Amino acid sequence: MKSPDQATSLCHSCPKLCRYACPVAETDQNEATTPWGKMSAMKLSENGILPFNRETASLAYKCLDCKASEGACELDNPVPETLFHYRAKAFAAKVAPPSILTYAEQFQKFSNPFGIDLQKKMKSLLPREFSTPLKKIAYFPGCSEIQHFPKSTAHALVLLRKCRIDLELFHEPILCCGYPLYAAGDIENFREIAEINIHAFQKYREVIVGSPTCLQTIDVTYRQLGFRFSTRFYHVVEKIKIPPTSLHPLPELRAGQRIAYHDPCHLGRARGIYDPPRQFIKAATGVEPVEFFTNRANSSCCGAGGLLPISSPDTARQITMNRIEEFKRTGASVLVTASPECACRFKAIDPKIKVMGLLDLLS
Amino acid sequence: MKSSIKKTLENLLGPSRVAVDPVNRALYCRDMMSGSTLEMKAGLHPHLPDLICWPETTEEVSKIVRTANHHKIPVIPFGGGSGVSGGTLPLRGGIMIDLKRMASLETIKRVDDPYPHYVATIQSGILGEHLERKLNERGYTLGHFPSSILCATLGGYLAARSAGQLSSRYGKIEEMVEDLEAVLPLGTIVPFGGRIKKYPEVAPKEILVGSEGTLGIITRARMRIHPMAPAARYRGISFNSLSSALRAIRNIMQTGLRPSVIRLYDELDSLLLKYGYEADDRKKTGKKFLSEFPYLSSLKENAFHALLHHPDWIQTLFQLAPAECLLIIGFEGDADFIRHQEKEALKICKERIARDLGEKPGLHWLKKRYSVSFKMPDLLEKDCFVDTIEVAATWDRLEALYEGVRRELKKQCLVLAHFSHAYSEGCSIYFTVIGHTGSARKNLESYRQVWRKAMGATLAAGGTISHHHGIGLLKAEWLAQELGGAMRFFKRIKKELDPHNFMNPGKMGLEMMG
Repeated sequence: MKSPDQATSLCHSCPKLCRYACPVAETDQNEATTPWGKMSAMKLSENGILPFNRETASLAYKCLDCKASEGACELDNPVPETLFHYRAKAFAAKVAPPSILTYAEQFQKFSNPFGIDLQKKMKSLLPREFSTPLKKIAYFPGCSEIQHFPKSTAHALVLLRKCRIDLELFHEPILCCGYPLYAAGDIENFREIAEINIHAFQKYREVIVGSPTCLQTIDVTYRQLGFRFSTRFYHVVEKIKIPPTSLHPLPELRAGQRIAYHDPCHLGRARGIYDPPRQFIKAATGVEPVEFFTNRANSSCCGAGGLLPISSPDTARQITMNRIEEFKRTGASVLVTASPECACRFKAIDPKIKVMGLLDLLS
Repeated sequence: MKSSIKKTLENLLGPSRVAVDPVNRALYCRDMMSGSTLEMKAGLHPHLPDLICWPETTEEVSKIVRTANHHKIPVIPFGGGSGVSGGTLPLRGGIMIDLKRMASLETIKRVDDPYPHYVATIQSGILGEHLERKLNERGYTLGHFPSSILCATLGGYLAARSAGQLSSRYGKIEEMVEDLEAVLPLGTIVPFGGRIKKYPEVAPKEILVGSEGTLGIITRARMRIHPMAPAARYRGISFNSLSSALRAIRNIMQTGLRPSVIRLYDELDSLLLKYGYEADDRKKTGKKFLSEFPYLSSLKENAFHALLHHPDWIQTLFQLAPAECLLIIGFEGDADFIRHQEKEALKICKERIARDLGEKPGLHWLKKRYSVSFKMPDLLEKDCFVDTIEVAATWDRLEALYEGVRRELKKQCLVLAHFSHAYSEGCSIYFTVIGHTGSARKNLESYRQVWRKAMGATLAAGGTISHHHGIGLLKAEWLAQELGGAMRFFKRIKKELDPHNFMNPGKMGLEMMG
């Protein structure tokens, strides 16, 4: 792993070779918001050529954490991680964008971005049988799934049991991985959440996660922060291996509706999981999903990541709209994705399109 | 800069499309000329623009130019900022006009006159890769694949007379453009089909393409496009000597065969390319291994630096050792037709004692064809100086040009070369120079010497100093030597179109004596 200084220096010398892949750069059309521009600004602030003030620091927040620039970089330069390092610096120096500071403050109230008691909500929605403790495997839905797609959590639990996985629902008080704090740059509080979560996770041999962003945060970011744990983490789609005959799609999907699958950045580019969701759709509905023009490793981001909707709402909105336009060009009538964050984002920006979580395809 | 200018432009474009803040100014101060990066590493501070603005229509570009003229301020058109010749450096500050918000692929039409073909009308601010993807989505291709496709705009291509890797089939950018729309230095808009008042007998594209923003700003272009090729074939061919390989390329091009790509690597470049396609996986493992042991990584770096201190040894060794030269050849089009073309090309190569390596090297090249650009930042970060020098000559002068440049530079830096963009009349040579002196200041000095020597050797051999990277600031002092009397004509056009010299001043040798 390159140090922030090495990483920014390398970008500063590069002829902007990953700019084409960055959705923020494509939307803003400004050199400053290309990965090169963002990293260069950080480098110039380290060199004393630019002050590290609100203006400079705001560029560190112009990143979706979608891994597109990393995917395009043959030098494996960790652009998002480096920019998040500068977010932490900005947050500590109180020069982060005001909207981010406010957001992080609100997060603290319930340790999740929705300002509600997630545990209470989860208990009211899910069958009690899954709250039986003392299993070695747990299902961790993540806060977005609990808030917006509780049905997905129920489906996941039923399907995993059908796959002969003896598991329980993760029921510790904090049901958020802390990613929003990490993206805000509030490393101090993020560490606290990570510590509590790791303590709880260590009881399990395996944890199956509903949200790719949670999975990436727990399995990669926690480790990058220096935490060590032996628990193995998987996305739910990696664990569901069911013969198609035992899957029953929703009645309206049996009419042969065309489904387009959107690759979440944190499942696809970050972990290389491209085929299992497509296989699941085929198994669940009997039809191959339609592909977006940019898909798999080249998939465009939905615009939800990196707290961009909080720091740069207009840019984030445009990025989502671009992806929705791309969806419309596929000719499909249902947009399916394996990330509750992506699904939530699409629904929020265009309520008219039919968006479904992967597991919600089943009746 | 007066605040009234900022106010005027804000009234015109809105405050969000005008910037004078230090961050934006610092990030618009240079393009990707190696010299600029070396200057920064040596602690030299570049020129800063005074203001950056983002127009969205041709009319807005025209109004910005008129405002700049009124206030006697330079304007510099800016695309992706990926140029390598200093073409967008704001030498006297001024207004950077970033055209990237003009990035639409507007229409695609079939045209039957003078022959049936397809034409796309495109705004000049679109990024090459985005344009290609949009065309591909509709089943077409521009056929233009420069190494800068990932980071350059159509306007940049046109401004610098760019050449793509498949130029042997699709032509250079100046052959692809049918017509353009532009804003002249006094703010006049030349529409599609229009003429520049002072030169009614000349198509505007003949004046503006390759003028690097010194004579006007290209805002839209009508480009010839092609349905995507149904089939493609690529392969590698090994030759025992550079001379016989060059004769084979010349024959291929002069017998009327149309490869989409034909690239010949000299002995040293071939070795690196071959190492690349034979050791793809090993390289990954090696990288991982080295990253685990930083000491080994620095040992490797030190050894590399030590080699660079005696570049002539490596070059002498290669001249003595039995090394081979690798030719990459590819064809695109109808499957039967390209199979036949490939067969004929192979026949010509075999006459020169060549070994067919099959498709593996060709496919490797195709997969990694933009990778070479990533080597540059990597080497710059290893405290080397590095650059590419693309020159060209007719076939009868080509080898003398190749030898001449290498002879001049061999004591100072490692010189690799490949021959690409072949025509029936001649070919371009793409030199890569890598050196190391031990200090940032000395690197910069050495880099400048390398360019002086390379340009001198090119002119002495009767070559042209630029095939497709443009002139900009980097090669400005040698342009007059190459053009001779034609430079006076170029200066006269500049004087007539831009009497106050506000349009990208200080570039292309237009202000130099003689």
